[in-house]
Amino acid sequence: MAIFSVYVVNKAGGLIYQLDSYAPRAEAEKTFSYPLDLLLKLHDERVLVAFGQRDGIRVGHAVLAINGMDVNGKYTADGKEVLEYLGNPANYPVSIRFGRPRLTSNEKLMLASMFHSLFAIGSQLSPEQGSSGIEVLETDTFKLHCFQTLTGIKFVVLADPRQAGIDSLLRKIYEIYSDFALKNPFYSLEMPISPMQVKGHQVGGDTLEPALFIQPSWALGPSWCRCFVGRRRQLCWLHRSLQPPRRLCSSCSAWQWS
Amino acid sequence: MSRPAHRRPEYHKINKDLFVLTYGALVAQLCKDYEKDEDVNKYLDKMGHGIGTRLVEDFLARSCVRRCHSYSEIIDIIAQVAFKMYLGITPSVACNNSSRNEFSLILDKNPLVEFVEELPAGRTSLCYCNLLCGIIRGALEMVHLDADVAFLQDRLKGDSVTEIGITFLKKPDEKKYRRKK
Repeated sequence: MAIFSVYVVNKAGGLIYQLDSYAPRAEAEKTFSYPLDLLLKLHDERVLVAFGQRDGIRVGHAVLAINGMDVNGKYTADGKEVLEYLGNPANYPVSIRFGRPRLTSNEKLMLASMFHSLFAIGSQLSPEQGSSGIEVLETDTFKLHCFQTLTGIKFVVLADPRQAGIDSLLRKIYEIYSDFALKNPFYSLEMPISPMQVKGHQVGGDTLEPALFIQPSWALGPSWCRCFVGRRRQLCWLHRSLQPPRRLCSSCSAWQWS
Repeated sequence: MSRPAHRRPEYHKINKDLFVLTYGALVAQLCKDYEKDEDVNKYLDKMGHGIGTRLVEDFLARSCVRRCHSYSEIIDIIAQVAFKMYLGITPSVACNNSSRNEFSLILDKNPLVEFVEELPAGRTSLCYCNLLCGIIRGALEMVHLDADVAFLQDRLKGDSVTEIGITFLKKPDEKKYRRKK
């Protein structure tokens, strides 16, 4: 996935829209017998691994599901406390799924307002008058692009560091925002945008969500078809006249959805 | 590419008459609802303000204008880009005050009053296009500029041209950041 998430922050620093890509994060599900050789602790309403890294389960991963049923914070789906449940030898063998914890909506709100404050600090630190503020924040795993409109709304996109064309994406999101959120007479300015307003709308034949997240592999460069020809993967070339995401494999002549 | 990388948004065209007649019906209904001209003018301005706060984002998104550095630049953009984009007309700009805070837009053609012969009797101080004043005021407010927008001359009232006067006021934001002792 090239785009990880989109945040829209209003003038006061409040988050009014947020969208995450659905790329599966690193998750590991294992069956355990008593006693559990991982040390679990409760932190921030979540049960995290404190010690005992093995097999894809790392320190900091949270308990996501027990026996296939998603946990609800520190309680299991049945309402029992997770730590208590896992301390009882009668419940074993148990299958637990660990993974990187997702951000809750409160945490996202907090992060958005913190970014808003950092943005303001960034503008003030500038030696020249009239700075544009933070435009790009780069790390090794993602790049954060921010575009502030003249009215003070900020559009923030987290994307793959190698992904190009985010500037035009930000402008496009601004256009879509002005079209579908603002022109709704019942939408109050600076208030959270309901996801239905965005999902249901067509923008020249595409909806916002797929346009952002369904990045066909050919968009990032030549891709390999899954067919084998002569025990070797062949390069598939895209038929440019076709509508994505379908492409014709030159070797096996089959429609590939990638 | 099967899809162009950047496509201009399609403007859905509607019949101009429908728009002009809708606006006329709106003003006529307001006249029926309120007896005083000042009330009608006030509500038209308020409605325009609500429209302006939203329309400015659409304008900024589609026109890609840069940050302006002076009031005259702003007025030029309003006249040449905004009016052209939304009403299809290009009013001319005049600067009234030497301290560069008062400007006026002179409209020689106003599509909104196409079907209006004259103001009804007893409605001599009605500003028929006051919605436009509200839109400009609301739009400027969203980019943190306080302005007073009013009709200085109106063809419907017997003047030769229609003139909208825009006066930029001192920015109200400065008060917010003063510390309370």
